[in-house]
Amino acid sequence: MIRTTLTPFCNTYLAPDSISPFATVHDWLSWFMAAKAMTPGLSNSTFRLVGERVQFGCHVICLHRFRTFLQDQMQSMWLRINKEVLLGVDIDASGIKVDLSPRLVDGSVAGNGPFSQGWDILLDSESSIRLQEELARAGNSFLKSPIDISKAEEWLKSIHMVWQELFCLIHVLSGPFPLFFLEHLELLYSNSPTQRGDFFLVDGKLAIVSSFEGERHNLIGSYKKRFRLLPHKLSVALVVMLQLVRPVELSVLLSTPGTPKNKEKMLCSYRHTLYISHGLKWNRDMLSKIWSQWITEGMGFSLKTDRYRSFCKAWRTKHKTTHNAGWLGKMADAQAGHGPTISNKLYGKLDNIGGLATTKTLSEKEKCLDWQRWLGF
Amino acid sequence: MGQCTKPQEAELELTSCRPGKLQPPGVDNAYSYTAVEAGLVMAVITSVNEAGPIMLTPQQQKVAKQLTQRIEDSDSNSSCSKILHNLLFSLYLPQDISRHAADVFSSPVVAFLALQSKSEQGVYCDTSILGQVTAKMQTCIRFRCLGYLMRKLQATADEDTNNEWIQYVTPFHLCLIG
Repeated sequence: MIRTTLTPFCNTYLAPDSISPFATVHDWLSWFMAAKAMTPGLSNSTFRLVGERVQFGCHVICLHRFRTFLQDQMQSMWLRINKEVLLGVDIDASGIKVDLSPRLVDGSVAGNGPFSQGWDILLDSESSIRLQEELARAGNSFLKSPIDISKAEEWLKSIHMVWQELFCLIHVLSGPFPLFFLEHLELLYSNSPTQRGDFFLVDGKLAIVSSFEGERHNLIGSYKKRFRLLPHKLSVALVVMLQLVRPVELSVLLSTPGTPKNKEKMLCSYRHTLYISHGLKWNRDMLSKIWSQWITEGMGFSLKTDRYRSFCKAWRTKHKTTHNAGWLGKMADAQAGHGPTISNKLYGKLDNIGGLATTKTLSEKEKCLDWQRWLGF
Repeated sequence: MGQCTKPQEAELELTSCRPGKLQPPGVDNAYSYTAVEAGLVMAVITSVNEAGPIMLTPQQQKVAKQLTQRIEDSDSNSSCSKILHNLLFSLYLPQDISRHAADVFSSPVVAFLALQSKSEQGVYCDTSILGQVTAKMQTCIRFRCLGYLMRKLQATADEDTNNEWIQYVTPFHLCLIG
């Protein structure tokens, strides 16, 4: 029975090397993987950029609408900063400086020469003392004792709202390579002799150079570094919030009841971490929630972060151009008789930013600028 | 009984399925297996009625039409089960697989799997999703085969040596008919 019936049956229908449907199903996954690997164009992204329209799934985004949305968000964020955070204090009129020019450690302003690029930003609290004085002079009760707790809470809430908007705008406008949420959370803004921050000044704008785990991190433990540039308006907003508002925020927070027990730890977090409010660091879930709420309310549909990443990937595929931003350097290299790699090795110390090679920095900077131009910034 | 004395050995040799690994699905997850089969049947019925992308042999077409007719005519699910079983059997284990050798997509099972590999937007779906579908599909085919073996063995259960095999196959058969 086994030999006459069952063995032929199993050989025909269940043996993996047969031509039966079972064998095909058995092999399907490896075929699928091969097909997927061989057609990167198809698996790249579900987004298609057609003229002024972006298609994905059943949605069509009008680019004009997306640009308007971003511009509106930038405006509303600035409005909130001026009205609810700075409480009507005119920074320029009060003589409070928001310094976005590269400075040397001793305070003297560096020249606009080639070596000033990428100089670390110094985020100090000198200007914030002036702001605190101005705010107190304007009669804000939460800065004088006895403190008006409800007013203080309201002010801290406004700061929290601004940081939410800042996070979303940084996520979109920092370039066509959106930061991972973990990267966002690990961004360090302050520079100290022992710890180097992730923010730099490039042409009067803030640049973020952060590292993230590359695809082969599990195998060789490698990290990738990426250069991202923020638009000028956003850079100024970030500096205002960090340089001016944060020290005042800390003093208000410490004088209100209900602050965390470990004040030293909280102070340390406020000095280094970008996203923190009410004494608590943000987490990934919070970022995810903020992002989905922001995009759903603004654009009218949900765009999860992975889908947004696909959208950026589609843009990068379409706008794949070779930038010749380093042409001057290339000419100099040619004259010196060596290539850009040797040039970076020899002169990397002079004009590299965050340990990134100059050629890569220039190329990524151009991509960021292209992206911002495309979005109307 | 010949050379294969133990059912496990025979099964290992013939289906490359490790003994003890293949377990009948429990009540909780049985639905997820039947859902794959239901998707296949739905695709086949739609193809028969609306000339879809799935190619069917005359025999498969005949059974699929019978099933459609029976569903339209009768409210009772039990009356459909035999035809449903026949349809799935003809899809998984077609009488003539030479056609399949020339073009794998001539098999409705493979065509269905190919359609599952793409998303609505026309791009490849995630590998993790497809892995689940293929694994369940394979298990379903194995169950149908074991059901077939069970019936064959029961029909010729005059030999004592068959009893061990029947004992092995019964849970799978019960799972199929239950």
